[in-house]
Amino acid sequence: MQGILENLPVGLMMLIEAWPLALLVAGLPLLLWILTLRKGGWCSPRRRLGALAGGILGLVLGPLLAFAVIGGSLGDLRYWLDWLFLALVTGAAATYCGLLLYLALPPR
Amino acid sequence: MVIRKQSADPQRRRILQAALAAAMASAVPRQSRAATRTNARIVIVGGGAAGISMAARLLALLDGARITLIDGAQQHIYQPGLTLVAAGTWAPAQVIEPEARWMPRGVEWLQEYAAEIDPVAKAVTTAGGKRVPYDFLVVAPGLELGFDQIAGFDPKLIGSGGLGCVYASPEAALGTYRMIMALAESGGDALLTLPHTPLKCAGAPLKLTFIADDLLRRHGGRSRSRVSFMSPLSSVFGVPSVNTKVLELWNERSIGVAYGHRLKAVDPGRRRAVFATNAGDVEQSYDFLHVVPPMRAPAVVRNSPLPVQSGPLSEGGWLDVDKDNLRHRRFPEIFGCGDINGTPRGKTAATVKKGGFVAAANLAAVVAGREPELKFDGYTSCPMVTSIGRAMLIEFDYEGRLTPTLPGVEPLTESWFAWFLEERMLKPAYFAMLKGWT
Ligand SMILES: Cc1cc2nc3c(=O)[nH]c(=O)nc-3n(C[C@H](O)[C@H](O)[C@H](O)COP(=O)(O)OP(=O)(O)OC[C@H]3O[C@@H](n4cnc5c(N)ncnc54)[C@H](O)[C@@H]3O)c2cc1C
Repeated sequence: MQGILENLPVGLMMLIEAWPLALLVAGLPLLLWILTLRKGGWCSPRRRLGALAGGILGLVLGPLLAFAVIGGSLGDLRYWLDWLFLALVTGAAATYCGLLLYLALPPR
Repeated sequence: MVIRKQSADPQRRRILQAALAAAMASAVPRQSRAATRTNARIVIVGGGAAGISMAARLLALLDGARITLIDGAQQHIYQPGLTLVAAGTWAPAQVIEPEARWMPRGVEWLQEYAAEIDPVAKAVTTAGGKRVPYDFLVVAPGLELGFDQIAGFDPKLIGSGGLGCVYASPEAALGTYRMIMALAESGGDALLTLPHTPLKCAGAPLKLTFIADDLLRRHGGRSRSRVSFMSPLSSVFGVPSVNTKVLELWNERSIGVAYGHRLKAVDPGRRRAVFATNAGDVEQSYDFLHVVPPMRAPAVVRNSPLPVQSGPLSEGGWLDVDKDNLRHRRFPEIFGCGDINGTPRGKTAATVKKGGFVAAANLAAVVAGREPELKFDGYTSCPMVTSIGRAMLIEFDYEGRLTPTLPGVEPLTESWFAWFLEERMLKPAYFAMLKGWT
């Protein structure tokens, strides 16, 4: 646990080093949200469908992007931590893509 | 709707502010909370991983100290990334930083090399003849690669004629990659060496062996090649459990090991290497030779009164520090940090991270009139790349005990997660250390 706490500033440094990307990742949903702000309510079947499609897209894109960016392949996953890490990356990608498509579609 | 969102904002803002404050609090060095007031003159020799991070830590610990850092290098090389350059994964530019970018504000940077340290007069003289007096001195000039101890070898040849060396420079690391790829095309004999002296990142020669094997396999040259590791010792790594694991993996991958072989000379024209062994000199031909030269303290320390006086470490001129508190054994106003230290183990950036924390805190205690309070356990870490995409995160102390710091990370298990740490996390961790944050 102490190892994780001690390394928190490393996360901050990662953000600083990759700030344009961090800004893009954080800014995109915000931008979409602002753009669709005046278009009506929150939930709609269309948006829910968008979220689902985005989530599925993220499930596929997550591992592909992870291997493209980090290197390695499925064969390099050796024990539970590797699988957990891949699951986290995939989950994050699915959530993010789902959110993007949800926000991108005007509620009506 | 916008207005309604805005009315909810103050609360959200408070939560965001609290989260940001918590993140920053964890990022601010723990030492900065009890700064000692002083006007001491502190000189730091060397502005690499150790020198820069010590400067940042001391600035946080000592209020009013006049810190001068002496280093003529304009570039700061992120050396752990050199292995990735040699693997063809990173470009050389990814490991080169302007030194000025990381120089802490508040430090006077003297852009010259130190030529002489006089611990009796308490002064450092630069190559340009400038005399810099000090009250306290931090010695952190890293180490020197002793290519001159290998007859016939010229570092300018790295990247040609089958010669590689990941240690020499980013360009040399790229040249090493090119030589491995040339071997993948032609096939032949790969010899990878280890020096008989202490060396920085003792895992790097092993990583390079794994990487060469992997690149040969990926590019179809492995079946036509023989890969051999030449160790001058009776092992390939100083930590027995790691040594056993590496040998196990090498055995699976048909990588041979020759013990008691010290690279003595190279004939680049004939592509032959001469090894000193107990049975006399042995000559071997090579198609790829990874040269890891003997290492020693830079002349400014080696030729001063500061090195270890007796025992095995006296040979390389290493700084005579107490391994526990990192204070010089004979000159109490001097502390050492980084590769220069004459300690039983630990010439890595990870050692600088933990050891630097101890050295800075102990130096600050001495400035404040107390005795050194913290004790260093010799923490050393080395993500051992075992193929492109897999690594083992190995952490150990002076005694060679494995000391894993991240929960769930098995030190002797190859993993993609450990590769991720090496490839993506280590560099920001290194920069955070330069800032004195970790
Ligand atoms: C190929 C390779 C792989 C590595 N892999 C890892 C790894 O995976 N993990 C890890 O933790 N560590 C790794 N390391 C080791 C790590 O990079 C070093 O241990 C670390 O950089 C040591 O810091 P230092 O400040 O002591 O020396 P350095 O970072 O080498 O800095 C020394 C500085 O002193 C300056 N200097 C030299 N002589 C003088 C002088 N006379 N006057 C003034 N200044 C001077 C130099 O210009 C330089 O700026 C690796 C190193 C290499 C080469």
